[in-house]
Amino acid sequence: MSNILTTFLKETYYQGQISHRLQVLRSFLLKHFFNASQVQISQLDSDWLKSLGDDFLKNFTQQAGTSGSQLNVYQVLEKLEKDVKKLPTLTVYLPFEMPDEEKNKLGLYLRTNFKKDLIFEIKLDPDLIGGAALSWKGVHKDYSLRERIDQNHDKVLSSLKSFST
Amino acid sequence: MISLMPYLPLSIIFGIAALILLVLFLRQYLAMQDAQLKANQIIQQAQTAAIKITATDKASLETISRQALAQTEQQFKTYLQELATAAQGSLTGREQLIEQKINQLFESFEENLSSFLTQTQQQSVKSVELEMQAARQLIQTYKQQQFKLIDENIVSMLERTLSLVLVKKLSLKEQIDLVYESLEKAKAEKFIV
Repeated sequence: MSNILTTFLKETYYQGQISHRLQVLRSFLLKHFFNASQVQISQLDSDWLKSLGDDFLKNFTQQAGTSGSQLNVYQVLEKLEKDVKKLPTLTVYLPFEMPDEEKNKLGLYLRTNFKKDLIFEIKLDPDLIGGAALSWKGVHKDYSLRERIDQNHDKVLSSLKSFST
Repeated sequence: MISLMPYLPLSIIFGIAALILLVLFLRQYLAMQDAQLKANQIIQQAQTAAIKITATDKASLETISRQALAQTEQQFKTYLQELATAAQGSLTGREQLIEQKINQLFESFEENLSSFLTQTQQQSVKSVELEMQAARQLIQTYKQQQFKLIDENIVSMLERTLSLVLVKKLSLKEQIDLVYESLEKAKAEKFIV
């Protein structure tokens, strides 16, 4: 994985966030190099851009190098977007809306416990009963309470029947 | 005479000759008449004799015929009597045989009918039993399916109720704790490699 991508993903964890930050980065760079973008960058995004460091911004230049070894800002952004799309995404199904702050925590947890370059996306599944279901590389598994109820179907049923009798 | 001829006139000679021929003719004629007469007599005699013989033979033939006819009639009557007797005997035997056969037939028919009725009854009973068994099995299967469906519905209702209640009753922290619990399980199972 390239340094640019590693730095970009350092505090960026999930799909919506990645798309938004790519857009922010593009706007910032275009404004910085060409004064072309009129998009207002929020304080939160501005803080994130600062967190990337000056070294990160040195990867981008207005024009490509004469030797062809250095790419211009458009080419670097395009490559970054392609590299991000290539990363495998963990889909997390939840029965509730998770706040962004909790999503960041979740992202940190996933990178600490599973893969350091892991990105994820969250999808809402109201049928889930507490917990989460996961999809990874085409394999889906329900880790919620619903699955536990299904696994213990007979026990649950006999318990319910014992109440009725 | 020949010696006189040169001296006699020719007409006389011819007259004499004619006379002689006439005499000869008459003589011949008379002889023929006589022969004819005799022949007629013979024929008459023969006819008479034949008539006699025929009459005799006819009488004899009639007698013989009558006797033969009477004998033949007698033989035919005897034959007819024998035939009637034989026919009567044969008829009686036939009647007995037919009666015997009919009796056998009735006995056989009764036996077959009885066997057939028994067999049919057994088959009917067996068929009814099979039908009953199939019906019982069908009811049992249906009951099991219905119970299973009810059980599934109960669990489904429970899940739905829990889903609705837990979303409202669980706090965000509790929800998130459950998510991390799920992730810990996934980690233990090495779901993400």
